[in-house]
Amino acid sequence: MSFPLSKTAIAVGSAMLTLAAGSALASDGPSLGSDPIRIVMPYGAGGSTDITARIIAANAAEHCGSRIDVVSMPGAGGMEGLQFVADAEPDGHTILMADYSATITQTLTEDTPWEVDDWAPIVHLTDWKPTVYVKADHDIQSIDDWIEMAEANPGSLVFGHADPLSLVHLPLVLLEQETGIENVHLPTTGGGETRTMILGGHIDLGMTLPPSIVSNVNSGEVTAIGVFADERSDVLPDVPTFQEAGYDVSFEAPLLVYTFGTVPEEIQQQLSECIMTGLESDTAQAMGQQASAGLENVQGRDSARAVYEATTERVRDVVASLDLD
Amino acid sequence: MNRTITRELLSGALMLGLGIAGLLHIQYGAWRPAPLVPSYIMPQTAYYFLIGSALWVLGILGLYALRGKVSALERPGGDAQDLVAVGVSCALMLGGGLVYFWMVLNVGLIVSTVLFNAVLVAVLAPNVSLKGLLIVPPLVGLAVWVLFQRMIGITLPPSLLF
Amino acid sequence: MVDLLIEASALAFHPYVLMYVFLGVLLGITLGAIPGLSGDMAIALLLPFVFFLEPAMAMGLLVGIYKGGLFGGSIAAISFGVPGTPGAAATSIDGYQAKLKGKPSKALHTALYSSVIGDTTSDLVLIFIAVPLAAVALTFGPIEFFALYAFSLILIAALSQGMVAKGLAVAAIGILLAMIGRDPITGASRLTFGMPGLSGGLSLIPVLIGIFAISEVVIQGSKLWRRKVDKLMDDVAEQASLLQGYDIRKDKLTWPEFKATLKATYIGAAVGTFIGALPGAGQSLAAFMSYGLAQRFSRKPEEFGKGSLEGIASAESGNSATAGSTFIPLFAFGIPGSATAALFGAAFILMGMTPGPSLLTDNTEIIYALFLTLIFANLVNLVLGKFLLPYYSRIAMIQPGYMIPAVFILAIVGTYAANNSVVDVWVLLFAGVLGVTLRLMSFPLAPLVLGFIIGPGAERALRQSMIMGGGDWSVLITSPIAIGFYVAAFALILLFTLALRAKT
Repeated sequence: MSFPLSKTAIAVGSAMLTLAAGSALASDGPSLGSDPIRIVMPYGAGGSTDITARIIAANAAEHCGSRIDVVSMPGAGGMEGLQFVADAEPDGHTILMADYSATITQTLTEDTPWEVDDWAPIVHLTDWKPTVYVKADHDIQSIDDWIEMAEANPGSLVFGHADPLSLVHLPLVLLEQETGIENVHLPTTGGGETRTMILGGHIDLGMTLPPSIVSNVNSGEVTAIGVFADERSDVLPDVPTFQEAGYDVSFEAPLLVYTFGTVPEEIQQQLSECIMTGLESDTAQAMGQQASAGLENVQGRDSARAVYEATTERVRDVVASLDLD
Repeated sequence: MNRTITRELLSGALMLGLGIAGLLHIQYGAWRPAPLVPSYIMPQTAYYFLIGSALWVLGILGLYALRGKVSALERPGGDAQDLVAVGVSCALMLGGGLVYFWMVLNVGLIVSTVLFNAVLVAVLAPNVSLKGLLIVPPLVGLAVWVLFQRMIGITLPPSLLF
Repeated sequence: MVDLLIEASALAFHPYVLMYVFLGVLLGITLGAIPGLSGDMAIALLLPFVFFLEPAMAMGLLVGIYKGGLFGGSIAAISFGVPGTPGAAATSIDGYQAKLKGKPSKALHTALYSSVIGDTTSDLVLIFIAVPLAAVALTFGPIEFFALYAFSLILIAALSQGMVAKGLAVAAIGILLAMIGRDPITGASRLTFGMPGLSGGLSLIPVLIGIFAISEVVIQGSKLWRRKVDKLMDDVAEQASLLQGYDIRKDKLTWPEFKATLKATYIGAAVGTFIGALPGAGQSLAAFMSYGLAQRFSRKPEEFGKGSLEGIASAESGNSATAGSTFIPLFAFGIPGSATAALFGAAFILMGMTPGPSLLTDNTEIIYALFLTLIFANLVNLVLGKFLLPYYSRIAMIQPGYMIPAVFILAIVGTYAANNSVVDVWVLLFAGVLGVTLRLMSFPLAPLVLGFIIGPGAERALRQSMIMGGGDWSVLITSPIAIGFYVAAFALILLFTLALRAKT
């Protein structure tokens, strides 16, 4: 029995929609032809980025005029994914979806064949809000508790975060610069390991993104004490931001869709518009809701560029202060 | 000198060499300073183990050689390999594999697969017939196409041919 | 509990759900049999599909693929000595030897039965003691994990029977290979020797397939070439007679043979269930550990590595017994313990269910239906496997002159497709050269792979423990669980030495 895997995967969502809508795309653009579009994601399958990419693939295809494949390329710490996009024909059919650690932090700290400016952000999908949390029965239950205890005994609290310099580590560095507190930084394999260690009482504090701890917070196993963002998180509305607590530190992590800089402006614009139209559809919104993907307020190129530049500046400052070799 | 002694001496020397080279690399290479334990802690331990095992292997070899019981080191099942044949097959398959995948990236998946398969069958199959050579490679190409192109939708850079 | 299961059975045994399970298993076995590809990949591709299906049907499909894939990996491992999935690497040690001795059907059936037994055990554990066992998993912090890894390393030494020095040496090489890439604590590149492609480290699939499979294929290729050059027609005739003389009726797994493998199967089921419940430990570790333990407790340890059915049974049941228990941390805490669990987690999220403590209480019916589906899928796996195996054992007997080139090509393309990584293909070929070299020098290969698998975990756990303990080495013996592991390791060494002494 032959079971056309990729067909089901790529098209299931989109196929029925596409069939219904036909390829009724305005054909006045310069040319984003009808070849398949690939969204390259420099991470393994199954994470929150993966889910968002697949929501785009299932909903934007009919508006972009061709099917959209999601390709996971975690090789070489994600560098292979970026390389693949950079090397592709500049026709807008190979695009990248990533947070800033792939395009900004790695580019600034490692020897890469491209510069930060070589990436052209086209859609601003959402902002992830790094959140600090503790076990529910820990002595620390608020931002002030933490700062006080850290000031009283510098270097005694163990703080778990994912990879060093990742988007759940840089905010901690920034806060320490701002307040002068010292914590023991403990790198983990990711949000899952951090949470295991918090729940098992092996470490004091941890940082992660809100959707991954919502259920633990609601069931009362962990307490989220603060969010590094300008506004509170939609999924954790009771958790204050660090700014509310009086510390001027905010470090949101934008999730962006990029093309490589050599792709013509018209095509960038066309892609940006068709992805946004797709994500505004009811199905996309429903999928986004279920996955807590935060796709309620997707922004176009202007916002994407602005936030990309602002984030670059912030990362540049923090990395410069870290004194890496 | 018999085959076992050569083999054991060579493996001992290889282990020792790798261990010492590694320790030198730790001494003189660039390692970013890490908190509390150096970032070469695991490689260092591994190098110590390599050197220790090398001395162990060489020591046992010396001991048995002195007592004239080298044959006791033979492992049942460790049958002697034909070095020439292994060399040829390494060059053909692994070297050929390099060329093959380069062709997959630049020329095309199916064309390269059929060609490479034909070369391998022609050189390796002991009783290859022209009929087999004409039928099998296209079949393998078809299987690769169905599996990887149709079912999985493999992601490859744009290539010259099919 | 039982009434909940009965309530859920209407949902679980809906004809459509059954159909999807069936389809999933078929797909899983087929994909798993291709080197480099595993059920995980199919699950990833099918994720968006989940949104449009009824949850029970989607679960049926995914569970079917997962279970089929776990068993499917052993088909290629036995037929061609090429593990189809990382978990099947240990199976290939004895499985392929058994096939060379003209017993592919016995080997495949042993693999099928032990896989199903191991898997079912693990599912039952998941269903009945998911929550308490998850609590145990939580008590594992860095200190305990380091002890577990050290314990596993000692088992490696036990694995390489009679060649402890060489076994330790290749384990060290495996650890070194795993150290290539980014330092987990500082984030700096190390041991990459200026090659940016290595900055993310070597992936498991190319290293595993290269070391075990590519090297084997190359050695087989060399034998074929020699035969061709020497025009050893008698060998060809021998091959032909092996093909003609192959009588599937004589290659039937008998009841006494099956019974003799049961002890190994139970060891695998216990080890696999335990290892599977620990986040991040993985199928390959479970398979190799069961294999090592089964060999030590076997009445015929000398047959291991030469086509022992016990060896196949222990490896395969250890591998498959991670299937149920890997969900324990996911259900109890929302922590995915493996890549598969992460994909199922994503599927739950897409269906509007949040993995974690509330998963069971909020979605009781669907989760209990999932439990039933897990068990039912094993049954389908058994039936479908039994039905397909005669065909697979015949494929295993195809002329090697035609088969070896095809398997080699499938391994290359499959490795690339698994991660869409060109670097992985180069690593695969390099690992093949390394594997051939080590084989020529009669090094055992299993310790290398085990060192490669547990090296990064051991390093991370060690350095995390040291950071938490402020640089004091004594932090490593502050946990009762850790001390337990060290004592057990010491006791095992003592036991093995005494056992060896008693034999000679």
